[in-house]
Amino acid sequence: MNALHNDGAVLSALVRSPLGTSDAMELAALVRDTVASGVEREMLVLRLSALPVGLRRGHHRRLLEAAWAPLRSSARSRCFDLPNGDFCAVEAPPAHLLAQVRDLLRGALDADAAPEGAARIIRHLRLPDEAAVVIAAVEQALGLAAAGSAAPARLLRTQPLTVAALSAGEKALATADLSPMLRSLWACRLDPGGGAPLPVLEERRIDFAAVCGAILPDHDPDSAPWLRRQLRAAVDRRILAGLARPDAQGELHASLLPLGLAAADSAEFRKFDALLPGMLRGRIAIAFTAEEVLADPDGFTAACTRLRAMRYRIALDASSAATLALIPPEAAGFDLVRLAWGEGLPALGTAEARALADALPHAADRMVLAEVDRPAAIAWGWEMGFRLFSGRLIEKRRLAA
Amino acid sequence: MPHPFAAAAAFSALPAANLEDRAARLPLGAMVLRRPLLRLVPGAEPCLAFLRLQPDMGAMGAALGGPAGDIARHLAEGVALRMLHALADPLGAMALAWGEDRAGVAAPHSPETTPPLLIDLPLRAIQAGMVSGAGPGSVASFAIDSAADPLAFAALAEAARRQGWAVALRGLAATSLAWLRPGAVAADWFILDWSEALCEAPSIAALRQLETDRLILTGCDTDAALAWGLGHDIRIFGGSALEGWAAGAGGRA
Repeated sequence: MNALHNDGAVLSALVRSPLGTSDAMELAALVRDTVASGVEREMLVLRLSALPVGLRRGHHRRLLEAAWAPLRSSARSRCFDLPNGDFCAVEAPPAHLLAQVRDLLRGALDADAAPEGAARIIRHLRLPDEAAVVIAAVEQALGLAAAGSAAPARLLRTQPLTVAALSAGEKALATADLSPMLRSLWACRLDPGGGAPLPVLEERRIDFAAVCGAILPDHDPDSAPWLRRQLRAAVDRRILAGLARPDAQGELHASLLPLGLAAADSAEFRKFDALLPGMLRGRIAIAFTAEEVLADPDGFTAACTRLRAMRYRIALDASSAATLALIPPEAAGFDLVRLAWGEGLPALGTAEARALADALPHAADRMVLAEVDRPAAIAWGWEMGFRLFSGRLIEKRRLAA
Repeated sequence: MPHPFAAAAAFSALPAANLEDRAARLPLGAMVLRRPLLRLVPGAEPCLAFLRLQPDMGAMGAALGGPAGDIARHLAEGVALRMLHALADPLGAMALAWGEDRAGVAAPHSPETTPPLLIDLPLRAIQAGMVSGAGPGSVASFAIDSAADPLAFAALAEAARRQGWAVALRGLAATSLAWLRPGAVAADWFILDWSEALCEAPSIAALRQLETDRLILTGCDTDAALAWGLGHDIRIFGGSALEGWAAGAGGRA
C-alpha cells in the first residue's frame, strides 16, 4: 500500500502491533550500536513467520520453542520477539550456545521435512557485517517492508531528532523547494448508479515524510513527537506563505487544507486570509487531526471561534473510526469529517459500523471518505452514507472521465 | 493555562546546541514534582492513594534558560523517560518518590517503602519498552492526545498492563468535556482538572459516562472543589486545598 511511504502510516503500523514492537526497536538500536562501535555479535533468527502453516502450530511449534528455550535462559544471550512472531537471539562471539541451538533447530526442521528448507527459516548472521540484512528483517517484522527498496537502510541511518537538528532543519526548510512534495487530490461526488466523479473539494496535502527526508535525511522525526510538531508547524507556514500570493490564489478552488493549530493562527495564515478572493470565502475547510485538537483543546475551541468568524469550515482529519467515538464531530463543532479508508474500519452490518454511522454527520456533503484505493472502499462508503470520495482510485477515474 | 515560560523570544536567540545533553545532566530529583493524591472518604481517615510524579517544567525551564512550548514539552519527555529508567531500580524508585531531602511531600507511608506511584509519561515510553519495577499498584498516566485513536491506545495500554501498570488518562477539563467522550478510551483512571465550569451541565453529562471510582480530581485549590468532587462521589483528590489533610494523613500513618 502506497500510504506506507507516509510516516503516519509507519507510525500507526508500529502503534497497532505493540506486541514485540519494543523488542524490534531495541533490536534495531542494538544493530545500530554494533555498527557505530564495530563490536561483533552473532545472531540467530528463527523465522517462524516463514514456516508452512502446518508447522507453525501444535507439537512442531512446541518443539521449536523448546529448542530455542536455552537462549532465553542464558545470561550470555539476549532474545528479541518480533511482532510477526519471529525470534532473534544475539550472543557475543564465540557464540557456542547459538551454534548449538542452530544445529538443534536445523535437525528438528529437517526431521519435519520442512519443504521450504531449513536454511530459509533459520539464519545465522554476523554483526556488524550483516547489519543491513538484520535491519531488513526487523522492518519486515514491523510491516515496513512495503516501504520500498530504500527502506532497509532507514532505521540504520536515522538518529533521534534533537533541538539542534530541528533548528538546522528549519533553516533548510526556508530554502527547500516543497512543490514536488505537495499533493493535490480532488474529493469527488460519486453517487450509486450515478455518472463520472464530480470534483467538489480540492485536498492540498504535503507529503510530510518526504519533506523530513529532504531536510533532515539523517534524523527520525518520530523519535521526538513535540519537535516533529514544531517542524510540522513550520512546514504548514511555508505552504501558507506559498498560497498567499495572487498567482497561487488564482489557482485556488474550494479546498481542504490540513493545518496545525499554530499555523492556523500564524501571520502567514492572516496574509493568506487577507488575499483570499471573495468567491472562495466559505469554501475553504481547515482540517485538524484529532491529536492536534486533543493536544490543546482550549486552543482548538478558540481556533474554531476565530476561523468560523472568518467564514472557514472546520474539518476533522480522522484515520480511525474509534476517533469519532472519542470526538463526536458534530458536538465538537466540526463542519466536515475526512475519514481515511483503511482495513481497520468496521465491516458493514456490525454494531461498530452502526455506531460509526451514528457518529458521522448525517449529511453527505459533510463527510469525505479519503485514501480510497480500491472499489471495495466506495461500496463500503456508499453503505455508510458517504457520497464524497478522494484518493488514488478516484483521481484515476476523474482524470479518465 | 498560562505558560510558565514567557521568555520564548529571548530563548530563541540562544544557541540550541546540546540542549538535550544539558537537560540530561540536570539532577533528576530536582526536575520532578511530587504531589500526593489523597483518598477522602466521608467518615474515614484521609490516606495516600498515589504519589504523583511529574516532570517539573518550571524547574527545568529555569535551569535551561526558559525553553518554551513544544521544545519545553520535548525536554520534559526526556525527564519523564529518565524517571522511568530510575524506577527500574528499587533504590532509584525510593529516591525519586521521596526526594533527596524527603521534603515537599507529607510522608504518610514509611519512607522505607515506595508508595503507589502515578507517573506522567509520554506514550512512546511504552513503545520504548516500558520497564517494570515501580512497585505494585503503580499507574502510568498518558495525556489525552495519546488516545486520539482510542483503538491504538487500547492496544498500547494493554501492553503497559502486561508489564504491571494501570493506565490513566490525564488532561480532562471542563472545556474539552463539553465535547469529548472519554468513555471511549480504555483507561483504568481518568484525571480531571478542577475548574468552576465543571459544575455546568455539559461536563456533568460527560462525567456520567465514567465510573466515579475511576476518577481523580486534581487542582483542588479550594474547599469548594473538594466539596463538588465529594458530592459527585469522587474519592481521590489532589491540590493545595489538601495540604492540611496531607499532613494529617502523614501524622497518623
